[in-house]
Amino acid sequence: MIDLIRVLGSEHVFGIIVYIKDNPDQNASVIANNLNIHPVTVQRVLETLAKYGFVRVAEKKGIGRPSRNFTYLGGKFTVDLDKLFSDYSLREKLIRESGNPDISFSFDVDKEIVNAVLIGGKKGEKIKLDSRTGRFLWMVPPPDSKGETIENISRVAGIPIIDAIRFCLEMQEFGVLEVMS
Amino acid sequence: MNLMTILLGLLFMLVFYFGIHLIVNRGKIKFNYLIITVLYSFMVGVPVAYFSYFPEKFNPILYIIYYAVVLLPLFSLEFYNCIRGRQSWVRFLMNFVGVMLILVSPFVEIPEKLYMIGAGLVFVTGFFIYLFRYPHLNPMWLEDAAYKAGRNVEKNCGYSSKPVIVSVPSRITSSSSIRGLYLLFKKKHAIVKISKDLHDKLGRPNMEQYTTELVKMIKEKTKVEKQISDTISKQGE
Repeated sequence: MIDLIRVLGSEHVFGIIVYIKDNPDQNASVIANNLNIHPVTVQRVLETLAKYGFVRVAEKKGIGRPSRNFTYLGGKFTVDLDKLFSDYSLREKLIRESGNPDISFSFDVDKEIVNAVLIGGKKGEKIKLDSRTGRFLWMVPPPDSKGETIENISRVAGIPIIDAIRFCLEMQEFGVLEVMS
Repeated sequence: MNLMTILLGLLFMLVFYFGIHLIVNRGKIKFNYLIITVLYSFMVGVPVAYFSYFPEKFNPILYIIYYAVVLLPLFSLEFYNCIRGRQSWVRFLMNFVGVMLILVSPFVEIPEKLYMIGAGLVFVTGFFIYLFRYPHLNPMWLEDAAYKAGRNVEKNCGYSSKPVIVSVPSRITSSSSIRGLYLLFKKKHAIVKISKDLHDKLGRPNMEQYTTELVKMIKEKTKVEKQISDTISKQGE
């Protein structure tokens, strides 16, 4: 939810929405060229809107990588403040690794980040992490330790607290770490 | 020079090298590591000693090729570790310059040869003093410490392949490893990586307690570093 709130508060969102309303079935690169915005920004905005069903995505295969074309759908968005703030209260919770034997990590000792989480061995599922979440996970204490608060780790890792909480809940679902009661 | 003289020379080298390791590793000798170290040292030391006694048999091209093959992997790895900031340049330079000065000695005549060997030995001695000051850089001492650290911690705990961060500052950056254990000391903290096999061998210790205990043992041995850690912790209080 927080990702959508952020996108709706961003500088270029209205320009992008108006453009795809008038010009349906366009890819991020074309929109970026016409609006003179960086393609990564357009892609981020549209992918987030698509995640919540406000934009439709159609993949078109051709030469090279398939193109993702976006069409405006619109819709309603309800903010559940209770859920948002209940997540925020988790900031003081202690976390640690769960010690799940099916989980392993791909990491970089020099950069001190976790690059990916491997679930079910090398042939299993691979969750790639960006530098911020990778740094956060790197700092999570080992299994059976006293644990560390999400707030403290997020401060050291330089990641916004709400993103850290969302990430912890996501990783808990995968069995990577545990939020201690 | 007869066979007995050569054998006596080799025996002297063996005893001398054993003595150095006994001191550097503070009495913690592991024969599996010692055999490999002695064999490698003989591979490095015997040709240069041989050509010092028999300068008429010296072949520069074969000599250079031999030492390139024997030493390049070791020094490349050390150099790479320095570039990546995993170990100090002081350690690398003392070892590299010392060995190079001794190896270059067959190319020059007496008295320059003696000066070069003397200067090389000074650097190599400095390198061994460095290893004595920081015992965790010696695999034999580290293996002993690794098993001792696992004795008084909680057992039958979970394992993670992710390294553990121990918040203990270090004055120098250094890295060392033995089978199943990798240590990296940085300015602000230490990083300890344990393999699953070693974790099982140690009786599945609590990783946080184990790594803290191991780093504490190392810091107690490195007196200079301990003083710095104490000063920092006092400032923190």
